[in-house]
Amino acid sequence: MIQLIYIFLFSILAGSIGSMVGIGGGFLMILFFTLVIKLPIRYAVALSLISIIASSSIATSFYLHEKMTNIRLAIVLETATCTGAILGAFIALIIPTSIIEGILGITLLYAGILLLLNPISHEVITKPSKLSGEYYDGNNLVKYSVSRIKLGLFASLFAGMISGIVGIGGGIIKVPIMNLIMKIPIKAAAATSNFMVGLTASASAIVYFIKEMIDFQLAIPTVLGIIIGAMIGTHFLIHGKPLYLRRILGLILSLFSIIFILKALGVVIL
Amino acid sequence: MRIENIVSLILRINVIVSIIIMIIGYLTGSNLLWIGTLLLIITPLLRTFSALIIFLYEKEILFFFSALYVLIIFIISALMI
Repeated sequence: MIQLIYIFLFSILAGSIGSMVGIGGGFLMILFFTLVIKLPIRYAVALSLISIIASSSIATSFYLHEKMTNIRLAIVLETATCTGAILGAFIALIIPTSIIEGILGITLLYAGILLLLNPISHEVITKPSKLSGEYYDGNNLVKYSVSRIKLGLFASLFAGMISGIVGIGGGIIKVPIMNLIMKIPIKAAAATSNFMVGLTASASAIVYFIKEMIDFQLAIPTVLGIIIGAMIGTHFLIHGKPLYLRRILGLILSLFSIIFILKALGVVIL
Repeated sequence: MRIENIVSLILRINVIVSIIIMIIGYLTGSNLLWIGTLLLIITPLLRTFSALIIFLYEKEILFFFSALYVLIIFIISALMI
């Protein structure tokens, strides 16, 4: 029983962080389930996928209401990330995973430092298009256009490939691509990424479901905790200052970069 | 009703119904536990499908084909694994 309470409480934390910065929070759940609950890695991954789906769905329902999620942009970018994920499965046969993890680690470190050192996003208003968006940040109407779409699509293709090889949902790559390359405000980038990570997780979760690798009983406190966490996280994103969100994301990316660089160097994390 | 509001509603209702079915399944020890979990897992698929239908209805052809492509790749990747 005490174990279920731990899972519930940690899920609230992971759901809050994941939904606030648009990264899903699956990696945190895997760490918790393997290191604290001592679940076998496959069962931990399955539950983390379930948690990403719940977090993505609930958070997105709130962000859509605030018009922060850009559905059209998400669908267009998903065409690139999905294609990349399929390509990644083939590339994984040619290039060693450690090299990809090393590249990912260095890229995340670079993105993390950029976010930490340049706390103000430089959104550029270009020609409005179907992909443009607007939302209210407090009482201010924020209008934005999407810059460098081709570069963003290309980067998303790579993001899909990397997440296909390394086995992550890709939120930690998608948010920096949208914010740093496509110049989308951090709130819209995080909310749109939140929308996207659910589909990636769903594709993998179906496989775990068919292979009967989901601990259904542990799924209940996980999902309940994630739902509450996602409600807290969305509140912080909707009402928080973009400056703090970028700093939190920058910090998380820097931490992830260390994990991936260590993995690339052969230091076993999980 | 705007596309954002429709998809938002679908997501919220689906997750709440899923968790209620899961809890009933747990309390009664029935198959409802895995039915609820499956319903939760396919939530993102449902939102993509609903977006696809809305884009078609709104005659936003580029986004309709984008959503269709995503759905096809999703099915292919699920079959590949």
